[in-house]
Amino acid sequence: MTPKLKINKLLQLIGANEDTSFEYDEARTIAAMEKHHAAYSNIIIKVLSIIGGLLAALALIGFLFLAGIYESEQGLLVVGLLFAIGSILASRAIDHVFLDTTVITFYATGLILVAVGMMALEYSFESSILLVALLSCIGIFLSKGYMMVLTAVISLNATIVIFVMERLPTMVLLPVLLIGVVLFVITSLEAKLITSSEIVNSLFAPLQAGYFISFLSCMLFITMGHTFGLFMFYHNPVVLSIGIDVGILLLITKIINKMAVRELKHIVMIYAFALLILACVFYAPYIAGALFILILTYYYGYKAQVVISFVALLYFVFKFYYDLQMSLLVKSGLLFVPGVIMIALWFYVTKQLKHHEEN
Amino acid sequence: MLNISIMEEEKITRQDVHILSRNSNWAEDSVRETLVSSEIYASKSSWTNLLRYTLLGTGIAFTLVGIIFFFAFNWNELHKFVKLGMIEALLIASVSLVLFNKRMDEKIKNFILAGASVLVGVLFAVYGQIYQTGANAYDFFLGWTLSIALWALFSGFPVLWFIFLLLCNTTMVLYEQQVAVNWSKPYLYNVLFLINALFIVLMEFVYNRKLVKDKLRWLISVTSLAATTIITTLICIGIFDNGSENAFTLSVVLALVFFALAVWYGYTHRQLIYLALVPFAVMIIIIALIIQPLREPIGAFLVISVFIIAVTTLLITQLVKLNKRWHDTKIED
Repeated sequence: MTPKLKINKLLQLIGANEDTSFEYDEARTIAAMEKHHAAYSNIIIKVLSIIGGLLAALALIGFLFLAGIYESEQGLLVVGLLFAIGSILASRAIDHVFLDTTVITFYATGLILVAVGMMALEYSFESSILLVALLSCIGIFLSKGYMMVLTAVISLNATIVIFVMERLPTMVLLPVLLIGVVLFVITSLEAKLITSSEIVNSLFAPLQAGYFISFLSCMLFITMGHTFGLFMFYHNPVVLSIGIDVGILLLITKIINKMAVRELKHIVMIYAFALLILACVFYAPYIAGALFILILTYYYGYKAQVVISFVALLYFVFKFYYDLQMSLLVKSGLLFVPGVIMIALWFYVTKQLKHHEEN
Repeated sequence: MLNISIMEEEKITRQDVHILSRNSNWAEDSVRETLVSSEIYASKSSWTNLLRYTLLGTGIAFTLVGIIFFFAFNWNELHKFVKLGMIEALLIASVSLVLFNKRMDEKIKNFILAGASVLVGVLFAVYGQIYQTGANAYDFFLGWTLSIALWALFSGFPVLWFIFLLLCNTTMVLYEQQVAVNWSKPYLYNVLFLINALFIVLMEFVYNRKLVKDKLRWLISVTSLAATTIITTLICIGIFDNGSENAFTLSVVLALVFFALAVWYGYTHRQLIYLALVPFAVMIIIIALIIQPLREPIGAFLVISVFIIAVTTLLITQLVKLNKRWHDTKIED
């Protein structure tokens, strides 16, 4: 569909509920749609850009270290700052999406070099992490291009988690919860955010994806348990679990409203079933976390994220059963019983839906 | 006329809404309504479908794994016929459900059949345990693969094909370890590459003839990625070993044929995956060629970094152009 046709279709859709005061800049809209379609319509191009950038960054860091840059602490810091700031400026100056790869490479390398350089120069941990966080913030608000903002968001969240991990280890799960809350808020307030201003509108997609990746990475980090995961620092997941569970229940409420479930009996059953599952995995917040992002992204229609969340959930469930310190017979029962319950529920739900459709 | 049909096929995307909103005075409530009405947000029917498939899918998966765990538990007390009989009964029950239940949805039947295919493996494992044939015997996997071959063929279900392909690869690896011990590793990987490449050819044929209803491109992409990775790794290893083995010559020939065919096919059939994979693989091979003769590859790293940036940027630029051209001609048609 050409941009013009798309716009017409959209206008038709809006026409039904929009007053006559609606105005838009046709030329700019068409240009933006064409540009986006050329660059981002294909997932293969996206993946290629990311992998290429990553490989190039690794080779570049390899060169810098082999060439002995680590021998000069100032050199590390200066090169890092040059790379980071230079890439932000470049992303603004050259407005071509295909240069994303190059720019991200230098940006990511720059952030790493700054962190290493600050440490080598024996600056305090706080000031080092603060500088990286600052560069990430500048990256989010001043750079242009989807991938740049995405990288900056992930790096900002990483600095926050690392800071809390080092300085306030008993609160290490709080920033994780915070990332989850921000993800929920951003994703659910899409209409409000994209209409608020042009800048927020452009930032929305990479911000949402960045928080999604950050949250998922945290969940993955938690599953690593006591070896080098987040539980190494603090192993009481109560606050995180409750937070995620509240998020899931909020989403379930939204789904109940959407599906127009009215009967009290059904509503009680849905919540009871949800609470039962959440209670079972209370001490494995990563499962609830994966469920949370799965429902959230499905609700708001982020197809790629749905697939990633689903794969994560499969892995986490596997990990959960693998880690259980119980005999195979007990595990077998713990798998078989929920399986049969779910099949029974499927029969019940199918019957109810059919009954509902017939009425 | 075609324009209209294309317009009806393609949907409004989230990005379209964002772009129009950025360049207009579109009100928040109306944007929200559009996101819902254009089904960018999950509709009621898609939730219903999700609920149906998830409950059934996870239900079957949990039950099956539960059963497998039960068997894996120390069950020496059970008589061997009981062990085999239980799995066979389950197998017969699930296949009967697929064969004789006329009202059941095709998709659900396919998933049950995929579950039954896993059960066949369990049956072989139990047989192996009882008669001490070893759980990783290659003929056990061969038997499993052959037993589900007909189901895979007639179901036309990509998930089942994926299981089948995994089994083919595993069988071959075990065959090399247990029987063809005189094969060199590069030789084995050449064979694995050939199996996967053959699968790609068959699946592309099925895809072009529209012989299956289910989505197939994901499986073709995964298999292409696997085949390209195998052959690229083989060649890189060969380069570092100075290409002394005959198997290396075979790999080079296979790679040349595969890469040429893939690029030709990708270009003529508008499949971007091959046009991305092949140049990327060639790039990796060239990097191996640059590093190999150098004793201290310090400078090479800088060259490689610049090389990767240049090639990837060039590749993306060309793919974007090509994609746009294909898209434009599709509309003009």
